[in-house]
Amino acid sequence: MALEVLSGPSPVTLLGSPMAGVSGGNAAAWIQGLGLLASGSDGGLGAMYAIELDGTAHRRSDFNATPNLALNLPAGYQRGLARIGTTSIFAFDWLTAQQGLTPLYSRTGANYGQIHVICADRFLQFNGTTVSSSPLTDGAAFAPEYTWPGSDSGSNVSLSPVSDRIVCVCFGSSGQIRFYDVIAKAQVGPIRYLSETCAGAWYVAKHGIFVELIGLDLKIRADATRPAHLTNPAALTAIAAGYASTVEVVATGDAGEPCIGELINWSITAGAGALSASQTATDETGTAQVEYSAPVAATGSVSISATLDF
Amino acid sequence: MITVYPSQVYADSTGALVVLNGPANRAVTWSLTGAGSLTALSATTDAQGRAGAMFVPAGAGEVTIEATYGA
Repeated sequence: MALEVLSGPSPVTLLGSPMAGVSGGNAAAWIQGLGLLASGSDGGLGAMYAIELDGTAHRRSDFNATPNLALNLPAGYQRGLARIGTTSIFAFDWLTAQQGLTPLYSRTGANYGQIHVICADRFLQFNGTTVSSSPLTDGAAFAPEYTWPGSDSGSNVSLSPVSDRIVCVCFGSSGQIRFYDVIAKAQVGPIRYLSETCAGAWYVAKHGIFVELIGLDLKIRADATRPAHLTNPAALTAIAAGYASTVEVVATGDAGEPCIGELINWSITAGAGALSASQTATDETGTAQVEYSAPVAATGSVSISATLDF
Repeated sequence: MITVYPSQVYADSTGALVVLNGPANRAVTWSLTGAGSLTALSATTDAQGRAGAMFVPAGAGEVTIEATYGA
């Protein structure tokens, strides 16, 4: 898998037994200090559960309507939630796992569209190609404010806060994860890949990890790409006697994304000369470099080896 | 061109910097003829064609410092 798996898959269990159902997408949200707050079922009526990192679920409330949760950034980015109804939007209390009594917003006429994030000045809706917005006085008609770079990321969106201006968006149908800056109105950083479809994935900002719900199992993922490919060493300038040449390799994941901070071990397996270092690290493009210097009187050829210290 | 800093090295000096100015990105081999020690600070010339070594004399007398590098 593209993002390294730290643990799992672990079944989501209630009182030691696998749960009958757990909903992802916008029916769940990561709440720091609580866990994954998700709509689920133990075989009976639906309810809200808090799921720990090891998959242990605890019933939090008997709220069994479709959650249709949105991040409510003005209420505090870490735990602010709202529930999107047809013509009313209510605060969703993360502690009691219940909907508020009085609407935060309401409208007449057309129903609210799909709302994923409530900002201070607008509603946001995410799909695989664009990010769209609507005024807080509307919420039914949305207009694109940003087009994702690259190909269509798919559907089945799950959201989690990173900071008071950055949200993490997981597209479960493709396993792609993108970060979005709601102030700059642009993607932040590279696309992450789960390399599998899932019910949802949520970023845990405090620990820099992702919690992925796949079927009825949890996986914990690092925010680091598992290396899948390493190019052969290539000299940027011709290797010749008496010359110093830069040699580089590129480490990538199985989706072609760069592996950052990976250690590369260098060695000369045949021929003369010296390397400037025995180990270097890949940069933000997945590239690691070393300098090779050939003696003035060198003849023949040289073989340089690069291996991932993984 | 090789330049020594300071230009006059005393017999009891703790060290003098030897700087080679030549072509960029070349492997450099240093050699010393005479009393003392010569330690390479860099094995190649940098992007500006500079490489350095540290010379520590061992008594009075003449020494010859040479640097061989790629053409």
